[in-house]
Amino acid sequence: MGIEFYLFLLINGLSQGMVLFIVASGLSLVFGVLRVINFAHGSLYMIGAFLAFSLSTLLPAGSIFSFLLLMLLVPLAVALLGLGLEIPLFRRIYGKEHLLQLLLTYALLLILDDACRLIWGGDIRNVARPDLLAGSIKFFDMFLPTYNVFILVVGPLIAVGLWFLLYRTRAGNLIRAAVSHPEMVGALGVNVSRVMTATFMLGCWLAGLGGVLMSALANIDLGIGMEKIIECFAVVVIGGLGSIGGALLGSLILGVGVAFIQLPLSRAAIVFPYFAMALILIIRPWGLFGKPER
Amino acid sequence: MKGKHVKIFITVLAVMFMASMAQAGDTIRIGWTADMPGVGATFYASQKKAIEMFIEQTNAAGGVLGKKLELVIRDSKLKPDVGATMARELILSEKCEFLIGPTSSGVALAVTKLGETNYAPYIPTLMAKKPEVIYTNLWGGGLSSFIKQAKPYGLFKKASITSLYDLDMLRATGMDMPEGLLGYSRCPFYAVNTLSMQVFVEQYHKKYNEWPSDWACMAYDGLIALTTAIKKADSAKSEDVVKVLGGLRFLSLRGPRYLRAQDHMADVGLYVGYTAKDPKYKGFLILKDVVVVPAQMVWLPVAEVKKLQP
Repeated sequence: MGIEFYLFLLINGLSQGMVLFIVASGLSLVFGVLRVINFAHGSLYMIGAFLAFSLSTLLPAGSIFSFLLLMLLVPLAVALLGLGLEIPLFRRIYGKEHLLQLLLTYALLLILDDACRLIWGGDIRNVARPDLLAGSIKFFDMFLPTYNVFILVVGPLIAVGLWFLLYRTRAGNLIRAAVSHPEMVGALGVNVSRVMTATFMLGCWLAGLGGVLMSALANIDLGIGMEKIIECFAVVVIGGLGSIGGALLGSLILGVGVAFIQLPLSRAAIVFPYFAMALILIIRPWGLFGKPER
Repeated sequence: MKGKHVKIFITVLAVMFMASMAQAGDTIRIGWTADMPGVGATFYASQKKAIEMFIEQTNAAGGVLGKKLELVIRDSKLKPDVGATMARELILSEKCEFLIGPTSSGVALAVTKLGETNYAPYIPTLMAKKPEVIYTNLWGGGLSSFIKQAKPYGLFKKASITSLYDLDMLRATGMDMPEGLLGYSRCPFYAVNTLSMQVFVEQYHKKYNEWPSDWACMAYDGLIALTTAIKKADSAKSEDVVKVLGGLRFLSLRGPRYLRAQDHMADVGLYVGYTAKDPKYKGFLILKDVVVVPAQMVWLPVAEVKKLQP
C-alpha cells in the first residue's frame, strides 16, 4: 500500500474525530466552567440528531440550504432545551457533592432517552446528504466522500470559533474568569449565574450541532446518545477535563487511532478508545492538557 | 373514603373480568410478541399492517368457526428473555390461545450486539483488502446504512456485496442501492405470480398506499396457515390445533404449501436475483431474473434437526 492510502486513512479518521470533538468540547466546556459532569450530554446530542431528522422531512430534500438551515436551527433548539434544564435543575447542583450531580444528570439521561423513544420510536433513521455533499472527491485512485471533507472544514471552524470566543471576547473573559475566580467576578458586579447559564447553553448548542452533522454522516437510532457520551468521556479523560484544546487533541487521537489500529489489529478498533483512556489514566490521570487537582 | 374507593375498584375489576370472560367465548385471541425497536421496527410496522388486514378481512367474512379474531401485541424489545416474559403474559393474563412472532430471535441476539450505525471508520481498511465480493451478515437497517455510507467511498465500483435484500431494506436504501448485485429475498411479492398474491398486493396497496414487504406477506401467510389449522381441527383450542399442524396443507400467497410433519417447518423457499431498477416501483430497486430455490433444497434435513434438538 502506498503512502496515499495512509493519507486517505488519516483524512477519514480526522473527519470522524471532528464530530466527536464538537460534542466532546461541549461536555468539557460545561465541566470546566460549571464543574458538573453532564451525563445527559449524549442525550442532547441524540435529540439534536432526531430533531434534524424531523425538520429535514419538512424541508426540500437535497438542497444545501435546507442542510445549512438545519445546522442553524437545530443547535439553537437544543440550546433552548438546555436553558429549560439549566434554570430549574442544573443551577441547584453547582458546587454540590459529585454523587448528587451524578444522580441528577444520569436521571436526566434516562428521561431524555425515553422521551426520544416516545417521540421518534425505535426506527433507524438518517438525514439525506444534500446533493452538493452527497458525492465523492477523487483522491489518487480512491474516493473520499465529499461530506467527510465538509466535516473536516466545519470542525476546525468550530474549534477556531470557540478559541476566539473564549480568548478574544469579553464573554469569553467572563467565562474564564468565572472558572478561576467565581467570587471575585461576582464581587466585580458580574451576574455569575447568567454566565453559567450561557455556558451551559453553549455546551448544549455544541451537542446539537454534533447531532446534526452525525445525522447525515451515519444512521441514528436510540443508542447513539449512550454511545457518544462514552466516547466523549474517553476524549475528555485523554485530553483533560475542562480543556477545549484537550478535547480537540483527544478526539483526533481517537478518530485517527481507530482508523490506523485496524491495519495490524482489525478487531482492536472497537476497544481502542477504552484502551487509550486506561493508558492515560495510568500515566497521566489528569489528561494530556489538564492540570492535576490540588 | 378509602373503603369506598376500594369497593369501586373491586367492582370495576369484577366487571372487567366478566367482560373478558364473555369475550373469550366468541373470539379467538392471537398474541403477538413483536420486535418493535431498532432494526426490528420496519419489520414490525409492515407485519402489523398485514396482520390487521388479514384479521379485518377474516372477521368481515364471519370469522373462523364463527368466532372473531382478535390481536394482542406485546413488545419483545428484541430480547429473548423479554420475549419469553411477554409470551407468558399473553397466555396467562391475556388468555391468548395462539402466539405468533417474533421475526427472528436468533438474529435479534446477534443484532443487539452489533448495534453499529457508523461504518465509515472501517470502510477504508475493508477497501485496502481489495475484496471482489463482500459477504455480510448485516441485514435490514444495518445493511442499508452500510451500503449508503460505503457508496461515496467508491466501494461498489470494485466490489459486489451479497446479503438478504428484502423489500424493507431495498426501500430504506432507495436509489443508493447499486444495480446488478446478487442477493436473496424471503417473499418478494413482485416475483410471485399467483392469483392470491395479486389480489393481496392490490388490497394492501389500496389500503396502505405502499407495497407489502416480505415480512408482511409472510405474516399474512402465517395467519392463513393458522386459520386453516383451526378450521381443520374444528376447534379453537391450541391443544387440538397443534395435533393437525404436522403435514398441514394450506393455500399460501405463494401457492400450495405444507408444514413438515416432523418439525412443523413450512416448505417456503428463497428467491435469488439481481438488483435492478423497475419503472413500476419508484424510489427503490427490486430483484430481477429471480430464481426460486425450493425449501427442500435449503432447509435442514429432519435427521439434523433431530440431532440439534435436546
